Amino acid sequence: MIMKSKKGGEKYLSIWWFFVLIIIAIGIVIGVTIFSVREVSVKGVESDILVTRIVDCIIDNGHIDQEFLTGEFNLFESCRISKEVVDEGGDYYLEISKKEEDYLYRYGVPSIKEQCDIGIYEREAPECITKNILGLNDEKEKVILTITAGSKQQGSRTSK
Amino acid sequence: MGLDKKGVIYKDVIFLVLNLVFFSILMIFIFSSSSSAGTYEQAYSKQITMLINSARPNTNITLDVTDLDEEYENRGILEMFKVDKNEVIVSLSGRREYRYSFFSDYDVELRSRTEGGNSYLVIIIK
Repeated sequence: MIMKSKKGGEKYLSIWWFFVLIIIAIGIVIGVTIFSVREVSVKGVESDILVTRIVDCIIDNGHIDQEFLTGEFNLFESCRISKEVVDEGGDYYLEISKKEEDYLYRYGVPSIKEQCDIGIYEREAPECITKNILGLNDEKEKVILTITAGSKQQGSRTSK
Repeated sequence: MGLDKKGVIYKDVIFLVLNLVFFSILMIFIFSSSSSAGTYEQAYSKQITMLINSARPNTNITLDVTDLDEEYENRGILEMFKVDKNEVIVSLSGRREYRYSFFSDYDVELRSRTEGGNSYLVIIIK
């Protein structure tokens, strides 16, 4: 009865209408803020590029570098990868092993691989890529290399 | 009766104006958030980092940054984009900056180029 007796404008200007608008506004602000603050993750892409760089560096025409297979290869110098960033930076993990054998090379933070194996899906969680590569050694025997690279790099935003 | 009608019209007008103001503020907020410098700083620094990581030595990469140059015309391209050791630093507004590291052990130099009214950022990888 009360609503029926109200005029159109009066009805819409009621406190409930503004309450609804405020709820809508809060929802939109939260949604947009979450979207704009969210980081674009390129950790998986980085890991993939790192594996590709290693493969391009150690395999030439299907033949794996012999020195590489002895475990005495200077990966950083030969592949022009920064030891400071990958090994000592604390944001990467790189592991290269021959199939069913011990590691040939292992650099960076091992916990990155453990976190990838557990499969944590958080913003700060690392992303890893593992690839099996088939190549030939000097005796023309097939060698399967397993290369795993992971990154947990978070970019940094600073105010000037 | 006449006063009642006027009252209703005023209230309708106020209602419409308030709604317009409300939705205008929301739209301004959404557009300013979606085109904020922070989003572009992050996107550009990561994009440039990935380009450097996947490039081979002795490569020149040219990025068209005409839109940025027009929007932040008071700042030069080389003020907005910098490389320090292994970090790409992008600061579009000049108030904040976004840093992202690349793992390639290359010497990287940035240059700006203007051609036909367009602005380009040239990434020289040695």
